[in-house]
Amino acid sequence: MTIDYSENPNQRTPCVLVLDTSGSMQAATANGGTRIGALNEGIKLLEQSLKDDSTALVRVQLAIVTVGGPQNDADLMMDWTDATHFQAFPLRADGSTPLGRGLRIGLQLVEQIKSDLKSSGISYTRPWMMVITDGEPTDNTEEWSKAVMECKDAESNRKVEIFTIGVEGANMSKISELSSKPPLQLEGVKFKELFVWLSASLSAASRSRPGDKLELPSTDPWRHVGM
Amino acid sequence: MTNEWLNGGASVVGSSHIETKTVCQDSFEIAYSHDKSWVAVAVCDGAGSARKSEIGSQLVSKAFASKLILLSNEFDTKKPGFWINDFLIQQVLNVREELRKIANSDNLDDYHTTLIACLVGKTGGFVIHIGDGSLVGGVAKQDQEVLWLDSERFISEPQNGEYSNETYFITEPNWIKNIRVTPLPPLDWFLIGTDGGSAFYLNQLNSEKQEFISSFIRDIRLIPPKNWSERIKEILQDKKADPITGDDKTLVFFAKRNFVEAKADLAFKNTAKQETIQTPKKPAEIPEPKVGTSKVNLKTTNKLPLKYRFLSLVFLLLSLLAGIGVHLYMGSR
Repeated sequence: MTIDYSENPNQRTPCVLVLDTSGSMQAATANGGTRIGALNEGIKLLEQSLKDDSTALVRVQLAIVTVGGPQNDADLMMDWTDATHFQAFPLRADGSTPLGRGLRIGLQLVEQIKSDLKSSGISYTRPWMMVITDGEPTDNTEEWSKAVMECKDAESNRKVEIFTIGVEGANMSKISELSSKPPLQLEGVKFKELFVWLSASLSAASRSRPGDKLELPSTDPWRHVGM
Repeated sequence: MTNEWLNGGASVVGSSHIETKTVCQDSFEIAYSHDKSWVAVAVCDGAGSARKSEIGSQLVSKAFASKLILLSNEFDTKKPGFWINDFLIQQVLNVREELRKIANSDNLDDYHTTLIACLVGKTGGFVIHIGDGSLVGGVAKQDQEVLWLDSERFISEPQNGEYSNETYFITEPNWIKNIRVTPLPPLDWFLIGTDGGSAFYLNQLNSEKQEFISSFIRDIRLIPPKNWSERIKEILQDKKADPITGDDKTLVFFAKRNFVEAKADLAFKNTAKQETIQTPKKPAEIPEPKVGTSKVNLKTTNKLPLKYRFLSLVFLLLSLLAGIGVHLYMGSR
């Protein structure tokens, strides 16, 4: 953790992205691309949207955990980074889907950033963890159960706000175990729309005041209506 | 006459509430003693998420200003003591009972409001505070041509939950855990406001914005007190203030007449902590992403440094003792 808060003491809204980069994300899309390609385009748009929003730019923090990929494991791909320093980078798809392990890394990161912000005297809103997957978790039963238990515990104790998004092929019933909020299904590969929504939502969260009801933008542009 | 308190204040609807066509949920109320040497003010911020919070904030501010000023008579004959706490707790119970009658329910969630109120006289006073909002004030001492605004300084800081967009309300069932009663030193001037108003004079580190405060007081001393409220309203409604906060804004300024009429320029003696900057410096370097090599050890936790852990322990023990005190106090009632 090397963030120098003296240059920007604004309050923060941290968000960890737990992204499925398993082999199934190499699947071709209708427009001749791949899912991982669409995900990468979406992340680029997230960077741009955050940089176009002067408040979100100085308040949002991101971390990225990948699940699968060339290492065939769950990995911390990008440690906590202020939006102002964030630069999108391409992810590669390969391997299996150890989602449970990825989630546990994500929760660990949430606790880490809260502790870091607290000790630096920086106020913060409740961190978010956004989970995007297109497959079936490949963790063993014990690892998955631990992940489910830790996610539920973190959510019910208001430690983190969890959003679960399933891409076509995701085991929606399995990921619905992670949060009291039902998972949403992405329409096709509308990653761009999803990440524009995420940027706008994080911006709204970063502006929210005590006692305000947080109104998030509509998910209609990217959500599969069949849900 | 020199101890007479002058005031000006305004509540204005925030830019985000204008967009959503929401009414102003802030309110404030002021009450004076006969000779104007004592003043009571109550400032309330109704929660945006509560349906009738403007009713809650109006009722609570009116009740507290009108009741606190009654204590000014007692102060002339009694020394400060625990009887003040008893009185204040009784007022919270009374106002909650009034809200229950209006709500026709034991649940006051629709009326959520914060409270900061104070009673101030020539020798000081006290502040009662639940939730956010703040009070900043000082004793001014003249040294030749300069009037130092902070010869003695006092701040009642906002109290939020763990998260900065959460706070505490007088209307919550566990309000007793979050009530703060603090004695006030003698003051010559003070600013009191809701969360939105505080954004003008307090930075995010809860230190006073000295540049704003000195230029504000300098400006307001040049106009007749009867025009102060109008001037404050203009400041709060200035479009340039929108980036500071989109929330409803209440700011009330009080000053003793002799302070207002003193012939000297204003300054702060002690420099406050660094002001909040809105735009970070250009990044010196953009960190490279860690590609496929970095892992977090699930067994390790990011522990606080030893000195912070020690301070946390001391704070925890003090909190525990305070909690036991409140519990015994309530139990003995």
